[in-house]
Amino acid sequence: MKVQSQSEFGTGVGTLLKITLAPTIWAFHFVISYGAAAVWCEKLTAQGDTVALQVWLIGLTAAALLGIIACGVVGWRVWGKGGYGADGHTPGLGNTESRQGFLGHASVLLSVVSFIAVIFVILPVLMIGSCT
Amino acid sequence: MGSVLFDSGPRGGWFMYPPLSTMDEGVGADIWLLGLSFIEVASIAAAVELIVGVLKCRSPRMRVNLMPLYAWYVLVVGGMILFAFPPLIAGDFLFEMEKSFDWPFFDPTRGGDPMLWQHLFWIFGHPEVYIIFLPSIAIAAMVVPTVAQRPIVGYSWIVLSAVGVGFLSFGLWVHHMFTTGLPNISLGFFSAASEAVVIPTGIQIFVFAATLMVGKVKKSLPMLWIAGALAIFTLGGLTGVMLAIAPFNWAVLDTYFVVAHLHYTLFGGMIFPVMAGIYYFYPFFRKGKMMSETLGRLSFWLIFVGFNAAFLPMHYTGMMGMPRRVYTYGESMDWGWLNMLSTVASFVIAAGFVVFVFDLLRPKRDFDGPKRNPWNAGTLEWSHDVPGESWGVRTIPFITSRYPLWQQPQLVERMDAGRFYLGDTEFGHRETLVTSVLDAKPQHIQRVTGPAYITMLAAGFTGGAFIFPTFHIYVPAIICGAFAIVCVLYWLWTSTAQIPEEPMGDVGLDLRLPRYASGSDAPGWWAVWITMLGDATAFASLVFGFFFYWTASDNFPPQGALHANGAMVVAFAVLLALSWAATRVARGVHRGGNVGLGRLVMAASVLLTLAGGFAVYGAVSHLSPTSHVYPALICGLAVWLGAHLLLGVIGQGYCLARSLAGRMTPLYDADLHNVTLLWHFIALQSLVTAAVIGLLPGWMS
Ligand code: HEM
Ligand SMILES: [Cu+2]
Repeated sequence: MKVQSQSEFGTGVGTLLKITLAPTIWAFHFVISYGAAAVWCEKLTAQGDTVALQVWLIGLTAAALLGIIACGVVGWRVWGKGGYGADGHTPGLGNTESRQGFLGHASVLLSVVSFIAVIFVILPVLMIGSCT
Repeated sequence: MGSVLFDSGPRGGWFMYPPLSTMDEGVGADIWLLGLSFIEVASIAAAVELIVGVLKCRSPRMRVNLMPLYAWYVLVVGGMILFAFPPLIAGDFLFEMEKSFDWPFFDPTRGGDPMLWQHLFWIFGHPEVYIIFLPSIAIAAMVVPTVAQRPIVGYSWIVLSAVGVGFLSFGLWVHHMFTTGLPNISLGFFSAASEAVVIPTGIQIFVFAATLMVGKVKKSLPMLWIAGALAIFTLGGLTGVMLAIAPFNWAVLDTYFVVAHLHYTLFGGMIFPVMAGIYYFYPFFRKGKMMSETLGRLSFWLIFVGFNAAFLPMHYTGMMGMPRRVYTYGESMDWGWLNMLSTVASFVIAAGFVVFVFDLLRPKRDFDGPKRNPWNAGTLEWSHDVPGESWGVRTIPFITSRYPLWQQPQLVERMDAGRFYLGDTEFGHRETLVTSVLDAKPQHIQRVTGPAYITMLAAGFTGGAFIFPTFHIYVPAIICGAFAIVCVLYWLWTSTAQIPEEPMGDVGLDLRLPRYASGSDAPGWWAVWITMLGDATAFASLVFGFFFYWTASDNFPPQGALHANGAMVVAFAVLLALSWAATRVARGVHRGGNVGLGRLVMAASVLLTLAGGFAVYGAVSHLSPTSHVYPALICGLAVWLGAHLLLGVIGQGYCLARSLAGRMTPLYDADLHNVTLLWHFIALQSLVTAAVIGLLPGWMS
């Protein structure tokens, strides 16, 4: 019956979900690229050329990569503060700093994977110059 | 499965592509749908349970960075289920409407499009293969540290791997649709994402290898099966990479190459790890008994050799061009001997399973050595003892390490002595602790329901509500549905959110905690959130259908078509928004202590919902859904909304009744919080539905 605000839900899950920010950026980048290509090829272009689409998607990719780098940098800072990185050991696993350090580490790793995945996804747009 | 014996198995393959499957007159497709419906309900329920369990019911102080890796895997799987199954639910809904009532969602002659089914099916289908794979490989993540007798090397890397796979696996679905004529660029996206998913998938295998290399490995049966799993899965993953390259896929699509791939991934990614799990956990379930080392080895080698002899040649038969799903072929095809090899080898696999089943079932003598933790594992489940006692653990320990049985001395002794949390129950109820998400701080005492028949009855009636319509028997189905609702309500009424005898309770170690939680502290509230997130995904898939028809056809909405009744659309949007507002206001007023006014507003919300429901009906009642996919989709959305309004009005009425019966008070108002949360989602769906059927058609044409 303790009257509480939504804080535990917000902060708890919120903090946990922060590690998925980079993959979420990947997901949006993916869906938008796919949707844009589908609409462009089906509705907007008659000849199947893709120059305008390429320009827009390269812009989108740049934005996505910047966002992912930002996630990685923030994660890196948190990770370092956790005292995990310096000697490669895990001092005192059971405290708040080590938990933060772990979440930071996970965000860095996920940012790296998302970065690569975004680049993978944009490659076909650059390499396949037509809809058909 | 039984349908096969009565010649009513699904005849359209496991992915049931229309129009073949919708035109098939037999009952096979319906039975297949029935099975899928059960899986959908069960999976979503499992997702709720897994997510809430992992996030809210950990041992005190077991921070997220200390959870067993198994918990990370199932957390990710729970999340994946919430986004993978709902599109299939939406697809099934459309499919069944077409099959039973001839609404032409997938019928091109009336504006439908079979491609929508393929999209919805595979948006589910590919994540599903990882939903199968992750919990199985999670067993490996538990077995490997035990075998190496040391903590896992690179805990965060496993988390990366699980979360990364969870996300990327949603960008692969079109690799099952490479030959459907989508633009090449679109194929490229999915090909690229398929190659990218290999990175996180591969990482966990390296982590396992690293742990084994730096540890002192004790050879054991579970490890043997895990080793076999990794070997086989790696091969299956490699053929997956090949298949994801579009031109190669065009060549081998629907050949035995695919059959080889899927068996390598499923045997390596599921069967073998699960076998390892059975050998590993056998002495956990049957204390003092162990499966036979000799028979285990025999079974392993029979299955391993048999498997490779049966499925390795299929890569080659596939390359030679042998199609899937044929039962005969000409002699001149040259692949007869390869198939003969596969056939013989399949009997070897079967022999291996016979040995395994025999070993599983035969009576066994007690083994020597420690019976409680025979593998000397480090994770908490191995503290379990005491068969015959009516508790899982004597007390709930606090956890400050990843492998508590190795790293927290005297833990088990203290647990047994009752010197941790909840050693006793004050009022004789079943209870557990609910803890916070990040750091597992104890938050309140949660009363847990016990075994009951009413839940079985509810399951039985729910089953009836699905089984009868399969055979086009509708009246008993509706009766079953009604009884299912009654059973669930009865269970909710008698066993959940009960007002405690005392507001606070003593949990031991000088800690006093509340005995009741409402709002975002209550696990029930989380369950509503999670369920409705899945529900919203299904709804989004239906709305996606609207856009899909628009992009895929030049004539959607068709010219001169009848539209939804605009005035009625506005009416239901307004009424349902008001109903939502009333529910929200009732919660505040009631919490503030003005119970009378609160009840009045709750009653008003019930009436508003009913009126809104009639308006929904009025908005679409003049359309004829069998004539074209456009009215069909509008009616489909209306049916979907109507079903949710039924749920919503039951919730509102339930709160009113609880208040009148004195089971809900301003202090103890979890029910009202949960129903309000439900209504946030319902209101959102109402407004989106109104926009989609009322506004979009105008913009689109
Ligand atoms: C746990 C891992 C995996 C499982 C359980 C699995 C399972 C399956 C199954 C059951 C099919 C056959 C679907 C059908 O009936 O047509 C299939 C096909 C396919 N898989 Fe996998 N798979 C896994 C991993 C992968 C990976 C990692 C990739 C790519 C990198 C991949 C790429 C493909 C492709 C492209 C096909 C389509 C083949 C075709 O129809 O031409 N799979 N997989
Ligand atoms: Cu796939």
